Amino acid sequence: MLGKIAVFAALVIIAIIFQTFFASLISIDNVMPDIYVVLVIYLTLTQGLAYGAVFGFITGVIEGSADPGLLGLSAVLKVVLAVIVYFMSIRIRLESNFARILTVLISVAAHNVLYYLVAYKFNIELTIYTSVKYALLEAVYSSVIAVILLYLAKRKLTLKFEA
Amino acid sequence: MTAILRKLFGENKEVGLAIILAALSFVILILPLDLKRPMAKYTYLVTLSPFQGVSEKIKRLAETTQTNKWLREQLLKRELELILVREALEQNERLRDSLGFRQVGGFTVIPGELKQIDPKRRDNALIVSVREDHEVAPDMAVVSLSGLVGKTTHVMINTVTVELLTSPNCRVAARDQNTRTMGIIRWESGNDLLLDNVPVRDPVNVGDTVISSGLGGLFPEGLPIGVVSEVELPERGFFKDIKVRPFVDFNRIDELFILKQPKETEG
Repeated sequence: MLGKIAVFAALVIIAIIFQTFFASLISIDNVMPDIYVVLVIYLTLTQGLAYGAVFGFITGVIEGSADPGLLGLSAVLKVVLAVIVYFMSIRIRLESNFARILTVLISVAAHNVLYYLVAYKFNIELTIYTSVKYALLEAVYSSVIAVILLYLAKRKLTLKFEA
Repeated sequence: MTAILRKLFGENKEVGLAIILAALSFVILILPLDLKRPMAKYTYLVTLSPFQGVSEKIKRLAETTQTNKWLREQLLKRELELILVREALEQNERLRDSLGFRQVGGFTVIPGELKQIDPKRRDNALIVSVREDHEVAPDMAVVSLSGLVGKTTHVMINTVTVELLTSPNCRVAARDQNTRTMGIIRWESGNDLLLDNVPVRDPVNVGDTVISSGLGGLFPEGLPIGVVSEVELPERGFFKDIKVRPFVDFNRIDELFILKQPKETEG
């Protein structure tokens, strides 16, 4: 149990380090991957809903701490994202690459659009503008990374949670 | 914990855990801001702040030479401008005295450094680091060397959230520097700002500089905002459609200055 917690804590720290140091370095025209979302999907699909949801909650609270007004929003959306991915993975056969890409893309896009919708107090025009400019492109970028991770996971390069 | 979840949700204990976490997150989301602020502050200090501090130092190191050169150039330019401005100020004070205006002036300038673009609202909010003994409060004007940037919103120990002019919540009482026509600067969409509430009959020309008018009380008078890029007369309606290209490039903000407004004194 302690081993699992240690691995989990390490993963959270690695995610923060990646998002802080490297995400901006690999950004394309201000669009950068959201490693927290990528890992929520990865953990949900490879380790189960509990891991994805807990990771989403923790990183969501951490991410939200930058703006006290929106604290909790990112967390609730990431947990919901984990649930959506979990149920989609049950209903759709994720063996096919196309289904996998589509699942990840839709989930991340929905997560991002919902975030802006709530952050902008349901201002539809503003949400559409920001979504087109960032959220959807970010969803594509994050999905590519998530799919690569899932491909590697399939090749037995999964994280070892059995410490 | 596992036993409790199994008791509550049977075989679906993972779903149960997710529901509990989602509910907990939602509760945090709807908490009053006064409760959320200390929670956010301590979470930020323990988790994001140390990493962002290191990241910022590394970036600083790489950018120092370039920034230094640019700042020297700017300093020289500003020195020259300052000489002219001092002359104008003295003249202005003399004129104000002779007309019996109240004396307003002497802003305290609090320097800040861009620490982080607000992770999600990157189009309209920044996290700026300031000294721990700062005197920053919400609703203070924030400027860069190019012009008005926005206003402070949330204030923490050594960081301040700055809402940019490109935020839908940020509005500035402004005027055309040449024609003195007044309006409200706000953002609607795209890269430009709007100078709103300008009646059709009031003159505003493309190329005119737009500055803050100081009438809103929040932003001091005379801060450069941008240049008029487009003026359209509406087919119907009473107000012109005026687009203003901001002087500040919101994607390339570095050093920022928070203006602490002094209390007005009767002269």
